[in-house]
Amino acid sequence: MTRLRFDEIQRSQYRRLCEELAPLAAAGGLVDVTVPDLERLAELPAGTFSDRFSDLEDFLAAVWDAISAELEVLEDDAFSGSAPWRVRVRSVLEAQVDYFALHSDLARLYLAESVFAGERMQRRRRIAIGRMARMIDAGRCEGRRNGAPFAGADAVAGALWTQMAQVVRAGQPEELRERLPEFMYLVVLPYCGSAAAREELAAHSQSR
Amino acid sequence: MASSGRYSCCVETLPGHLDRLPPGHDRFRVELMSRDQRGRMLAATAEAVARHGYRETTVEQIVKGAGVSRATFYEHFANREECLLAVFDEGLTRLQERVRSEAQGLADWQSQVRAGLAAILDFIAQEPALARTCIVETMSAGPQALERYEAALQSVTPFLEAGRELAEDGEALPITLEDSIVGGVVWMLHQRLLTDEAAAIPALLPTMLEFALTPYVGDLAAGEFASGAAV
Repeated sequence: MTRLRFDEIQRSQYRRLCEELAPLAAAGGLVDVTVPDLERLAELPAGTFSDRFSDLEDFLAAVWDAISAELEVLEDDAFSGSAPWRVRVRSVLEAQVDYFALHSDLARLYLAESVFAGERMQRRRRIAIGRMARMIDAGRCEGRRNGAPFAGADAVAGALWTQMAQVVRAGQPEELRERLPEFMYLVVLPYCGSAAAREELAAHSQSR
Repeated sequence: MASSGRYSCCVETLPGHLDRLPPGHDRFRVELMSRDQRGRMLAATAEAVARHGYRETTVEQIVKGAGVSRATFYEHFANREECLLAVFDEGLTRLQERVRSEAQGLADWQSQVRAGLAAILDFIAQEPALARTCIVETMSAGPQALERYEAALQSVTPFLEAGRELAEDGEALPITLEDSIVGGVVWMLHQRLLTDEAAAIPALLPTMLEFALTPYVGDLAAGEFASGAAV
């Protein structure tokens, strides 16, 4: 019989902890999750968790980073290419909502439960939203802004995050896709004006 | 009072902060004393939470900051979270009063939005510790606090919805538009508070106005109105 290497065991333990954290947090909220519960559900011996993580926030940060890395690959892929900015930014939003709909437990951890964690998570959230704001503000080269950056891109990205978190917290991540035209309305409005933003909403009513 | 940490200024305007009453036994005085103690605990909580974060704030720090006993703390609050919620309610009430007094009497909706938003931004710049406690820390203090926080944000949306009457096709605007505007504005505030840039918050007024008004009055009118706010 082949023996598992130590790093393989660690990876397996980490994966099992990840697999149990997401549904546990989705069921009762992150604030009610305890390390012993997590170890019991992952069928790991007591102490396994503390061998690798200093506390739940440390673990959540590791899970967050893994989700974030996956999302970044999807977003970069969606935003690359020579298509117009509106098309590329829509692709990014589509990639995000599809990911969240497919991985609803992870979406809840990433978007909703992470607000209950401390400063480390706040910093991570800030970086993720800042990244989205930069993609949004790439729209400054189109429409009426003539290349001038719009400080409100942060507000748009923050608004999108808030809306997505509310939908996910309500347990309806599959509805995110239906909300895409509203999200696009918010993104397009400051850069391309009201008429273009309404076109995004019109796409919404047609798709319904 | 010298203080160190994230915010150097104290929350002096919460009721009763550092304003102790002389000792006495009559009923009226006991009631006043109790109110004074509560005010001091609220102020101490806002300072401690802004400095250490809610998760790291202890009842010990609060009672020490307020100059009261643990027993007194538990006479007023069941636990730390209840105390934080009381700070939140107190801050919200004062903010609403400020906004109301600045915005009421103004003839048009846009001017009301500008005056209300300016009042909010000034309030936050003047009270960074209280603002950080209410906007940043309450959000992460558990489901009950989050519920209270979101209810406070929801209370703003009817005021914004009035702007739909100015829009060309107000009924066609997204139903979640006002939630999005509030969410976006709060996110900008959240970011500045998190990075200790409260003093720079009033300068966000033109950007926030443009963001908030554009869906209702159009990009050109909103831009012009926001530029006026910058002056």
